[in-house]
Amino acid sequence: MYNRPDIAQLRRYVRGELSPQQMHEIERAAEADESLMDVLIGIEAEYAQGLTHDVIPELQQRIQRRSHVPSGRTSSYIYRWIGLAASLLVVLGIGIYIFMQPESVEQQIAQHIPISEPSETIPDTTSSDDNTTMDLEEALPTKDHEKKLAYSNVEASASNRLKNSDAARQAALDTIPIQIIPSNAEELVSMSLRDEHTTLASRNSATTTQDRISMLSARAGRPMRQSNDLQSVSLQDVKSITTGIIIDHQTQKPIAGALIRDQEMNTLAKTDSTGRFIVGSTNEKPVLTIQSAGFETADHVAEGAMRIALKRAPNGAATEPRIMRNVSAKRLKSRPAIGLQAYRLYVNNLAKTSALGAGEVTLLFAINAQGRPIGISIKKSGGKKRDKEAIQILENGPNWIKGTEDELAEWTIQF
Amino acid sequence: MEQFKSSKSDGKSDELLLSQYNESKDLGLLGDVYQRHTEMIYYVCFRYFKDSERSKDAVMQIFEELILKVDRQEIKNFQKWIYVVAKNHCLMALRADKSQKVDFSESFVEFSVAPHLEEDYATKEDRLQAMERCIEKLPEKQKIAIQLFFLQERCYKDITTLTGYSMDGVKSYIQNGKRNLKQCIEKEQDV
Repeated sequence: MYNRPDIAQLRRYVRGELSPQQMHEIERAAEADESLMDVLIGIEAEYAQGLTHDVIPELQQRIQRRSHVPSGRTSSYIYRWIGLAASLLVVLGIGIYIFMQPESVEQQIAQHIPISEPSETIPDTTSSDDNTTMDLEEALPTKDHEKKLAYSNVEASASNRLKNSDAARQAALDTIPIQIIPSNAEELVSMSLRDEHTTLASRNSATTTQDRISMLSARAGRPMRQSNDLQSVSLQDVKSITTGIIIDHQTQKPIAGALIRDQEMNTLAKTDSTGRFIVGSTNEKPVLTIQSAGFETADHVAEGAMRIALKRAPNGAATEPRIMRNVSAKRLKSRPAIGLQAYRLYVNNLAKTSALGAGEVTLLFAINAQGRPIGISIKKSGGKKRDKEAIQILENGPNWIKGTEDELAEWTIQF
Repeated sequence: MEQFKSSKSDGKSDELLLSQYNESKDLGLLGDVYQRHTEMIYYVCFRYFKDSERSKDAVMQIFEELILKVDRQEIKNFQKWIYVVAKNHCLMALRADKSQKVDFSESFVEFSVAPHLEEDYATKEDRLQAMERCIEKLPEKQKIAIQLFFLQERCYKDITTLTGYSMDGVKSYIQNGKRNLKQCIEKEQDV
């Protein structure tokens, strides 16, 4: 049996530095060993090309660099997790941007207008013959109020984000303050006055809802329709949707709670806290009547996106209708402004994308005047990471409606 | 097979390092094993590609292949195993490379994995007699090359000088003579 040569010997063989006997030994070894023959032919080919640079150290360095990455394969898992975390951060960042994007000047101005909290302190000035006592659900923050709060923060992003499911679509619809609901005209009128203009609401307290609507119509110079004459318009019949902002002509500040009435359809809408409104109509060019307490009533032909400046009414000629209600107080719990179903969908979707595995975290928190969860604490922990994630989701999530109870709000997030 | 190992070998066998790698998944261990055979793999690749850069790239690609394959297969002799992996990699690359053709002419020498099959023969004497008869039956050039190389133990260079054949010719005659000899001996044994 022949000794197997090393690379150095093979190189010497190729260079012709070996004796015939040594060469024969190498050749016999190569004849018996396929791999040796391949290597020998490789070295011969390299020599034939005149390559003198030794590439082996370079190759070994490359292998060293490749193979001595810290933790080897484990590192790939780390990178995978880092990638996942980075993706999550990007998603959260986008979410935060959407929810916390800088408000427009009008919004900022609007926030300076104090919005009185619906409370039990509304003076009971209703006359004894007032038979239109509102139910609690009308007097306290109702759907309309929720819509306003949700719209002020979530706006279209909520509908975009949730539009892929029926529930989400429904939730999105809930956030759009379109009022084509003549049946609750009383509620709208009372809401606008009670929520945003409580100081004015103390006047003319004996006037009934019907009287106030009559006043509005009369001031607009049109025959009044009874509230039960207001037409019911289904969404399928809507031909045009008009959006816009109502501002104070003098101060250029947005007017919250202004009423927008479609004269033809007798539908009503109300501006939100930023002075914006959306109103649907079965008429392509509806004539809208805009009314707000302390301002002159104005008529405008709807033109897509509108910017309407209301002039202030002369002293003592405030046009605001006021309805005072004997509100029997009920206690309500804090709840998500976009509705329970949509909020749950939003929160659970974010929790799932966090990829922290199955678990459950229950949080306790208070709601501040702006509808933001504050003082969040863990009632039931689901693990450190999930707890942290849950708090972040809540902090970055949509607004809440503060309830009348002093109890902390509670929410469970399913991962 | 130790001849191809690099000087960085720390005394542990390839198989021991592989075993440690399988337990720890420390890629450094696999890299150490692979580095021992870098030269062999590079020259095997150079033998097929005839190109230094492509051969260097192939060495790194084969390492990546190794990472994937090493978990799946039981490796008893790493050097033989990695040689087969490297050769297959090169042949597959050449096959995929339509424009490049392997030169299967005289320079290409085929080898069987187990060239020596003496244990199949009844007796040594029978084998020697059969071989002598078969050598006589070989074509003239193959017979001369076989006799000079195996019986007189001359190197290729000497044979080229003695016969006037080219170097590639000598290799080819020896290779083909070996193949024909083997077939002939098998036939003799069957009879």
